[in-house]
Amino acid sequence: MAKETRSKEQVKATSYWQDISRQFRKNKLALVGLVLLLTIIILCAGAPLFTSYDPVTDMELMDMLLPPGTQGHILGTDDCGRDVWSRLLYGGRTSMLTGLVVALLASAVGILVGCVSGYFGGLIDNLLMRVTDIMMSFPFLVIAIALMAVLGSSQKNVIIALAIVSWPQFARLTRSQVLFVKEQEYVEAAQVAGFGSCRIIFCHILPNCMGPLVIQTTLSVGGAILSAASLNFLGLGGDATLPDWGVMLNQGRSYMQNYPYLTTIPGIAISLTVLAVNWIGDGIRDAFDPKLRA
Amino acid sequence: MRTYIIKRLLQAIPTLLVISFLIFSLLYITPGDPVLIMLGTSDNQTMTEEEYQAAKHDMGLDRPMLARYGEFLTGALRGDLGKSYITDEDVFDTIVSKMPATLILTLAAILIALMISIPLGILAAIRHNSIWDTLATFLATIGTSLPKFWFGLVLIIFFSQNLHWLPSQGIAYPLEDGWLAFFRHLILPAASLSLGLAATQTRMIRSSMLDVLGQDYVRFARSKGLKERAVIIGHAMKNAMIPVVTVIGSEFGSLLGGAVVTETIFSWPGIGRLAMNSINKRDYPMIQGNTLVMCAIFLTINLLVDIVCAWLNPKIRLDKQ
Repeated sequence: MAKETRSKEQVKATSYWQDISRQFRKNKLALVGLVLLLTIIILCAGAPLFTSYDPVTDMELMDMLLPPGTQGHILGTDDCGRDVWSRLLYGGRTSMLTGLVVALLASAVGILVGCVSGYFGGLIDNLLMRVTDIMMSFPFLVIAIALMAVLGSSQKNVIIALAIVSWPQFARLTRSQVLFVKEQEYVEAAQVAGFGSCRIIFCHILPNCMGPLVIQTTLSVGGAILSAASLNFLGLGGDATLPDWGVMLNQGRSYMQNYPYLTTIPGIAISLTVLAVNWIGDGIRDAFDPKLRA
Repeated sequence: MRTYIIKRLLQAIPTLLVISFLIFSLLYITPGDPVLIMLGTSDNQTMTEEEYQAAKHDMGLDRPMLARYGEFLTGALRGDLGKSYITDEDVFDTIVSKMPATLILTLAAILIALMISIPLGILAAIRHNSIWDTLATFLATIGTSLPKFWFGLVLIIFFSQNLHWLPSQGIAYPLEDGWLAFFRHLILPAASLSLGLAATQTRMIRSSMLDVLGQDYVRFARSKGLKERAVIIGHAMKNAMIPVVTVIGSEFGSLLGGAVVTETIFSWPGIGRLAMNSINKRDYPMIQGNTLVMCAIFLTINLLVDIVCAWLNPKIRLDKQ
């Protein structure tokens, strides 16, 4: 009898990450988001497979401003006669890559600051947290816009400006996690064993703080795509030839009266992508939350 | 309470100092010579060495940076933010003249956001796990995912260009143009700016209402035989609103940033559009002044929000003393 129960338990036993992945798969909206995002990524990453036009150089002024549904141009053409579908696919590469790089850069810096601050405490902690507080009391986009004004317009600078303004929230979050984890016995054990601070932080503490950090990173990808689109829309980002959803919106704005599809199409693309990312982020958050488990 | 206010005021000082220093040094971390940047690059081709030095001296750039920062700071405290390179107008006066338009826009956006989010959030909470709850959460996620400026453009396409109901550009003042014209001009930009705040507030009110509805005093009010309406409005809502006030404070920053984009789209003559115009013209004193004022507004609002929260909730002010 006892043997039987044990074998049942063994069958049921799942690891932490398996649990989370099972919870995630139960969430329908998150799955829809995942499928949607994967479709968008496949379309954009494999752009040459789905369109024969070059997004920048294939200009045909005879064919400019053709409406969507025209033969050969499924979403029409823009004011320079470039294929909108092709610019949309290649533009997705820029927009999504920007969002991803901003989120990764900001989380890397924030996690480093948060770890150091939380683990060492004392004066370093005080100093770093003051800086973080001050950074967090800036109005986000206002500072990004001011930074863009001095750094100059380029897609690289959009990434730098957005990463500079978004790392503090990661630092805060990491610090609070580290403060909790470092009191655990296994960390004490590692300290007693004489491991270096670096090894303790990155091998023992950080892996146990990953849950909330993964959620925060996912959600901030969506935010970064939106902010980058705003900067590009204002004309502060990459140059006008660059295929990017924000740049496309900026160009479409001049033709809003007669050719509204130049505005609506890239906007829908941004919204769908960010929506998919947010659904996935919400799904991950719910999957990590033990209170929501049935 | 007084100690708490004084403490919060003292905490705001280093923040303001750092912000002002960063904004002051923005010009000097730019790649390139600040003198040439200020003069505009075309001028350097015809400039001799003496003229360059004279220009440098005129701008005070030959003195140490800290001394210049000190002057910038004392000037800023007196309301002197320098003169525009382009129009030669006083930066502070220009900003002050554009301020009412931005304040009207952001306040209207907050009002619209609250008018949407309070009923929607409360409905989602009292009908927890119903179709209303799902719908409200769904709408809120869509609201956070749409680019605000694009939402504004779609509003223009729909309401101005197709239906011809509302104007898409400019501002009207109630006293000169009448209240009707004022509201007709205000509604589209304010609605577009309110989108993100309405979405975050709906989520916030929903979760904070759910928290409060599970508390003992709500159960007590119900068991006393109070009508559900009285329980929600009289007992639950008051306490559920504390986090809502905090969110308005922290979201005010994103409203100011959003105002830059919204004002550009709708040609709304506020400080956001001023910021964009000065960036396009590389008018550095105007950019610096504008950013500084926006940060100061944001800090002040958050200070007020903290004080209001401490006043609403004694736990906060006692904790931090």
